[in-house]
This record gives sequence, structure tokens and C-alpha cells, in this order.
Amino acid sequence: MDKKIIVKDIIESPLAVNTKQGKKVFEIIKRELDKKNTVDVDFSGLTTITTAFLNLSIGKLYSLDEPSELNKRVKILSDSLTIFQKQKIQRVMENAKIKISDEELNEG
Amino acid sequence: MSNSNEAYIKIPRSFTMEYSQINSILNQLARIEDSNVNAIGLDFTVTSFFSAELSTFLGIIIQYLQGRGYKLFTINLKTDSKVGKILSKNEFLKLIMDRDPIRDTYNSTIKYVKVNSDNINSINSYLENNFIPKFESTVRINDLNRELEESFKDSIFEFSDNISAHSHSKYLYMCGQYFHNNKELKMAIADMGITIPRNLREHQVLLDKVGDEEYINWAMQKGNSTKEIPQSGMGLNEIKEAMKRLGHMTIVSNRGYWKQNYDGTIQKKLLSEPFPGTLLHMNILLDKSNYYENDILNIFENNDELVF
Repeated sequence: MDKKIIVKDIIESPLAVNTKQGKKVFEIIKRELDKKNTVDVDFSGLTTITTAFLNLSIGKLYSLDEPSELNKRVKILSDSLTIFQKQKIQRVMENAKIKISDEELNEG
Repeated sequence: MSNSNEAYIKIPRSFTMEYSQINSILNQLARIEDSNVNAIGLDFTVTSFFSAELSTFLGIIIQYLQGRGYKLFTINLKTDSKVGKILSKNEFLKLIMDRDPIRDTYNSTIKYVKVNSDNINSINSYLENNFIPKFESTVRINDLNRELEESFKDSIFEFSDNISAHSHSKYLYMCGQYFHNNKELKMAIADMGITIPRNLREHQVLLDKVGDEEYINWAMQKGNSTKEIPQSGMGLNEIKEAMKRLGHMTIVSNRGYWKQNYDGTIQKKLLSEPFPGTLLHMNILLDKSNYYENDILNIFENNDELVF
């Protein structure tokens, strides 16, 4: 089943700016993935999004599965983002990928 | 008239964010702490210019001294002088004097405030009411304006989250000033918690014995963080990158002084004495932002989908 998660509704604010909010969004995405649902993440109506929020809500998803699997099961709705917010998410994803690879290298 | 129970901090002739000015005040503060006095006068006798957003810097010093039981007062700060008027208008003087603020008729003063560091609505209202209108009245290209506003607000929230995560300071102190002539918007935001160098020393992130300015420099790099989660280490770097478009930025934390100029060059210096917190100073050059227009237009051509 396809589930749509509207971030603004979850955090009850147009400001997605801290780790606590990020964790809340991550938990909800995780819960849907655990139920084998696919998830559309909608960022509409957010006026401010920081990396502190994104590291937890989106970056932490890399700890759940491989990128190829995440691409099949989680879709970030690009149209719900401004170009600058989108670029920020791209940077967070790149950073998370680098950190995960570094961790794997250190463990390996 | 001097009193043996009193000591004085001379505020410089022209008080700006320059290293020498900051260092001078911290030196005087350290000498006072070594002496046996119970009252401290902030001496404005020679001060003819006070960059109003630095009320945040002085505010931290005052709170720090008041917290240690010192009585604070001012010397030669006349209400009708240029500096006296500025510090009255931005309500800074309420910290040490029982004085009603003077009304700002030039729309250039931005109030000195103390807010809970986790009160995001309060921080947002302060930025929306005091800073965002300055962007809107100066930068005429809508898309460029939106991007600069976003960069600015994001930077403040990145800083405030960093404070809750690392410094454990309950409060944030903020102040600003708009300079109409050269279209500069200045802001200083600070906390009185665990400083960047102290936090990084505790986590032993740098093995060599280096100065506090190098610890700040380490924290500014992408991916460097002491947070216990792998997906971190971007907040301060995001501010650093955003400020390359906005203007100059300076961070003072403990004995570290770190500055990034508009051209991207970095200045790192060790202060003689510590600052009891962390301060981020932003000097936003709204006039220069129009040069950034071409870059913005290029960014708008980026239509890639987000892929994990």
C-alpha cells in the first residue's frame, strides 16, 4: 500500500528545524516501511528546513536499507520542495552515504 | 570618581567585531576576575561608535558577571549621545539600567532579546519581524530574495539546534542592526553554554595540541561532528556555505576567533582570554547579493529527482 506522509502535519509546524522533529518523522516513515508499505514524503508548506532536521528524518533512512531498496519504497515528492530545500536534501543524502561508507570501512 | 571596590571595562572608541576590540574587552574581563571588586563599570567615555548588534557580545559578558554577583553600571553613557540612543532604542540598556527605550524612527534598530533556545516559534517571529523585511526592501529580485532569506533563517536555526545539541544552554541571545547607507544587515546570536573548543576537546577530535581557533575550524568542516549519530556534521558547514553568498561571518567561542570573509578567505586567531560562550556574528552585505543573481538562475535549472 502507498502511504503519503505530510511532514508539516506530523511536526505541526511550518518550521522543520530540529533533531526532535526529524526523529518523529523518521519513526513514522519506519513504521510504514515495517508494515511493508511504500511511502511518499510530502514537504509542502514548510518555510524552513535545516540539516539538523533532515539528518534524522531522511539521512537516517540509510540505516534501514540499501539505497536501491529505499528508492523503491520511499519517494520524496520533489514538487513539494523549493529548489533550495531540494538541494539541501541532496547534500544531506550525500553526507549520509559518505558517513555510512566510512562506518562500513571502519567496521570491515 | 573611582572606588577601590570597583573596576572598569573600557569600551573601545569604535566597537566592532574586529579581533583587537573583542580581545581588548576579554583581557579587561580576565583582569577584573583576578581582582577583589564587587562592582564593574562599563566605561563609554571614549566610545563614539558601537555596532549595535554587539549588544549580544556585551550582553553575554554582563549576564556572566551578574551571575557571579557583580553589580554592573555604566560610566559616561549619555542618553542623548549617539551610542546612548542606539543602546536605548534596542533595549540593551534595560539589562543594567532602569530606563524606558527610545523609539526608533529610522527603522534600523533591531531589539536585543533573550529567548529559550528550543522555542522555535519565538526565534522565527523575531527573524520574520525584524530581519526579513530588510531583505525584502533591499533585494529586488524575488527568487534571489527568497533564497537569501532561506539561507539566513536556516543558518540561525542550524546554530540554535547546535546549541541545544552541544552547548546545553537554555537561552539564546540575539541582536541586530541595519545600516541604511551601505545596506548591511548585521546580526549576532550567542549562548552561554559549553563552548565549541571545550566540547571538541572532551571528545578528543584533534590529537595534536592546537589552539581553540583550530577546534572551531574543525567544527566548520562538512561531516565533522561529535553527535552520536552517523548522519550529522552539516549544521555549521551549512552556515559557512550560506555565508559565502551573504557576506562575512565570525565565530567567537572560548579562546577561538574564526572569521570567513566574503571572498571565502579564513582568518583564525587565538584570543588572549576566554569568551564565556559561543557567538556567531553575521554581516550580510545586501548590496552585494545582486552579483549572485547569475548563480541563482543556474541553480533554477536543476530539475533532478531526489534519489537515495
